[in-house]
Amino acid sequence: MSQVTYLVKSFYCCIDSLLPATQPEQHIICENIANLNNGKIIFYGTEDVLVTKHQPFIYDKLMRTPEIDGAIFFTINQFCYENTLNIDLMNKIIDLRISIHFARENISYFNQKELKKDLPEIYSYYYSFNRVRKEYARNIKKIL
Amino acid sequence: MTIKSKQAFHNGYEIYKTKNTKLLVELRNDIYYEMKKIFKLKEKNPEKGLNYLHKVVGKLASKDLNTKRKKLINNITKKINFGEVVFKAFEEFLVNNLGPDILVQKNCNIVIQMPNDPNPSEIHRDAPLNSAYEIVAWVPLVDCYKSKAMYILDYPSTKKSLGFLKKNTKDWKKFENYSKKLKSNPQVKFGEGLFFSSCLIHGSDINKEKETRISLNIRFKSLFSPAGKKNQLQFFKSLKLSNISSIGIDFESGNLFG
Repeated sequence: MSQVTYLVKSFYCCIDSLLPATQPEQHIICENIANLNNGKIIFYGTEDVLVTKHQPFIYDKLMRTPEIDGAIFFTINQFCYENTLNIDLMNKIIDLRISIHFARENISYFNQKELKKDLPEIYSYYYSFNRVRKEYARNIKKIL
Repeated sequence: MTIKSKQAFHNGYEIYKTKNTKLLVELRNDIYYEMKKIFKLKEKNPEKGLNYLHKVVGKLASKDLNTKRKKLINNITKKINFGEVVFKAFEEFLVNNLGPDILVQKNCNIVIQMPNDPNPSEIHRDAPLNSAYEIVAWVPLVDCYKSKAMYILDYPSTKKSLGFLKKNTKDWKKFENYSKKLKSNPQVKFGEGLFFSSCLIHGSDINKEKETRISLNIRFKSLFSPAGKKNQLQFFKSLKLSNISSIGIDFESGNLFG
């Protein structure tokens, strides 16, 4: 008979308060990621709409919430609302030994090594996300 | 701010005493009956059992407590129509403030805050993610006072606090410390409800009293008011429809005159 190990991890879910998608829609997708990672969401939270650029709430909350294994964000876009990628926050969360997950992108990072490996792709996405597409196209047109 | 919104609920919140205590006593008894089963409680007196819950379940890890709390919510939501009971207990107040066409949140939240629990409800406001047209009803099942009660910032204090946050968007701790200087912890006894606008900043402190706080929170809004980002059809259900709305619906659907 094979031995089965049941690991139930506890996740903190932080949804995107700027998205027009309703909260329940975001929760369902985040819940799926928790399940895929052998766990469930224990607490929910979100940044106030006034401070989405700097995300000051989540780190303090994770620091003072005991027994959290991972933080699930609805999308990596939540780290892209300022004029620089909020990589500091990602690093700080991983340094708390809390894994970081982006539900819509289905990406998970459990340590610095994994995060560093993907940084070129993440930065590339960040610049693409923040590019003013019409202005970009207009500038290209001016040259061509 | 309009003159009317300044006047409403005395700067955004109001404590209102039920005119039907019996309803809330029955509600508390029903909830305690389920809690006794889930938490294996022996105390027969619900008030005593709830106030001293921590003496029996205090050793549970916060996530285990949360799991049991969720089980409790699931069990009692199937058996008790919370929206109906809380509405009936405070009907006059709610109809006066919302009008006669009312939606109620489908699921009622139950919060258990044991003494020294390090994980109280964080400082936040419900709107703009929730509709700014909602009334939050906070109904304690035990007498709440000092840090056993929740805290709230009235309209002027919320305005100051948000002004501070706009200028300090990087430091949440600073914002929290600033806001907590403006807060008040209203004393709310069993049989009373604290009603507040979803726009107000609120939260709870670590409960430094010697009793556990058990409270319900549930939201009400007018059927015809704008929805928030919570899916209204999923989050709310219809509670009360006025006669004139029934006539209007009959008229527009062709049922009144054909």
